[in-house]
Amino acid sequence: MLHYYQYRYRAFRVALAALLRQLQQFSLMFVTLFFIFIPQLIIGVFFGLGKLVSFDSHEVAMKVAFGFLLLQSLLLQAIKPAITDARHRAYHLTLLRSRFHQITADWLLLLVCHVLFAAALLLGVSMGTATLWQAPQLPGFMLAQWLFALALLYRPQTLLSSLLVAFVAVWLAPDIQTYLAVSVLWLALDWVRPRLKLAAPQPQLSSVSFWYYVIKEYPWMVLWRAGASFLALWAGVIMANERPDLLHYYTLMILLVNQLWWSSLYLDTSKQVMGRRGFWRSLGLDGQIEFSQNALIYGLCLISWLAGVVLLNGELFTVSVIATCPLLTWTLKHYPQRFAVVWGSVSVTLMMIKVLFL
Amino acid sequence: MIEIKHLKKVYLHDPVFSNYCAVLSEQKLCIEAPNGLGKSTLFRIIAGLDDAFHGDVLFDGKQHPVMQQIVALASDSIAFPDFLTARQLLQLTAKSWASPWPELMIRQMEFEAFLDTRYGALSSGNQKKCQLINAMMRNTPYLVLDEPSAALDHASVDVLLSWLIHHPAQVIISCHEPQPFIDIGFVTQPLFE
Repeated sequence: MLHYYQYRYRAFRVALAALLRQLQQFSLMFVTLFFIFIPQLIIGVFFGLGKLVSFDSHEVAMKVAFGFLLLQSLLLQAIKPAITDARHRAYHLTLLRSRFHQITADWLLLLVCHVLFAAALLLGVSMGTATLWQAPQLPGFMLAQWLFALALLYRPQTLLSSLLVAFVAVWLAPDIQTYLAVSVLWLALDWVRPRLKLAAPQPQLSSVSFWYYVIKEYPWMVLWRAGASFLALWAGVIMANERPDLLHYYTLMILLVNQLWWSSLYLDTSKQVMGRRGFWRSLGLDGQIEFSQNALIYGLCLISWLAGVVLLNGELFTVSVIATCPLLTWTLKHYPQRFAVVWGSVSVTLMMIKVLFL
Repeated sequence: MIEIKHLKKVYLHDPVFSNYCAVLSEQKLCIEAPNGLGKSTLFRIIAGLDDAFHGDVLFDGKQHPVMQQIVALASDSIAFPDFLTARQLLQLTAKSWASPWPELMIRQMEFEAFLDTRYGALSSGNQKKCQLINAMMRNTPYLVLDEPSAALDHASVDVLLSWLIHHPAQVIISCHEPQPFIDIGFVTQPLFE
């Protein structure tokens, strides 16, 4: 069976290389702009995990646990096609007698990719068995991490409902142990429940309702952006409590980051517009579908911006963030490979104006 | 009659057509050429779905600003949204071009049972039926069918032939097994003379 595992490793490397090529510019830009924060980011992960082991209030520990579960879902979702070799699942079965090796390969690759689980494991190992017994919530949290990751691979609907329950439980659970138990139990129960077929509304198809069908078919393209925006706003709310004096700087940065997610939706939606150009032209709807695509993206950027401004008490200058949205979508349409540079330049320019003149 | 004058079309530095001229004058015409020489590309250009070319396409001696208005194309090269059902796709076409619902065509092709199946989940034969109905329901003066009999069962090919015999449009097809079409009056013409 070694040949199958060798194949999966090769497929993983090829998919990962393709993903890295796509993200090359962004990775480079982030490293260039924020390289001084990278050590703090790594320390921040361990600091957060430390809050799970030793905490002042259970509520903080629960919030940290939820933040980690949401963050890992967003990170792993990006790499999921590489882990599962999603495009060739049926081909795997032509090589195998049972799914055992397929699932084993999935789990091994998941283990390689799950950096937040690895960080928790590292922390657990460094604590030693004796100390670990005094903080049983850490192994419990690791179990939740692993199960949530498996749900992401095999039961995305279960992951969504479990994240929702975990979010609500932050305010309802009396302590972190109960919180983790409820989250894991819900996930386990939801995993084994019979699949429900909900009859979603079927509006008459038009160039506007088409996007409803697209989002229904590819919900992750909106959900991960909503999750990332939520995490960014949550971080902003925490900063508002910790360092209110610096909030106006953080607010601008958070709004810019959220705009990055939502304007990049243009790339995903373009697969349905430019990728099906012949189809839309054959219907004479190519102009309308482009208009509705832009309306969708500007609408979502506006909602995200408004949420940030309201929650973080944004000042008038933050209007400049939403004003740059047409520039970003124009760049995505005409020069998608320069999107990262343009977004980076816009961000630096606005931050400089803010720091130097306001 | 469709005239193509001085057509130049390049795919990633590879010229598909270079100063290509052709007159497609037969009312029922089958374009012949081996695979990969540009039949589907030519059809997309004629149907107004690809405007990245140089040259002129004339319909009865005149240029038409919106070619897709007068040409309906059925081709695998049109990427339908595979998450929409066949009914939704046909409804969209009916709405866009104010065409009547193709009840008879659907019934004759025995396609009723698949109307609520997603396009991506249809068999290749049923996808072809959906493409054909989608193009023919528009009743345009020019009808272009790219490999119309590919993947169709015998009964469906017979239905298609019965439609084409009486179809008033100029019908241009490409087909690697053209005999049934020649039998109903199609004339063959090589892509490059």
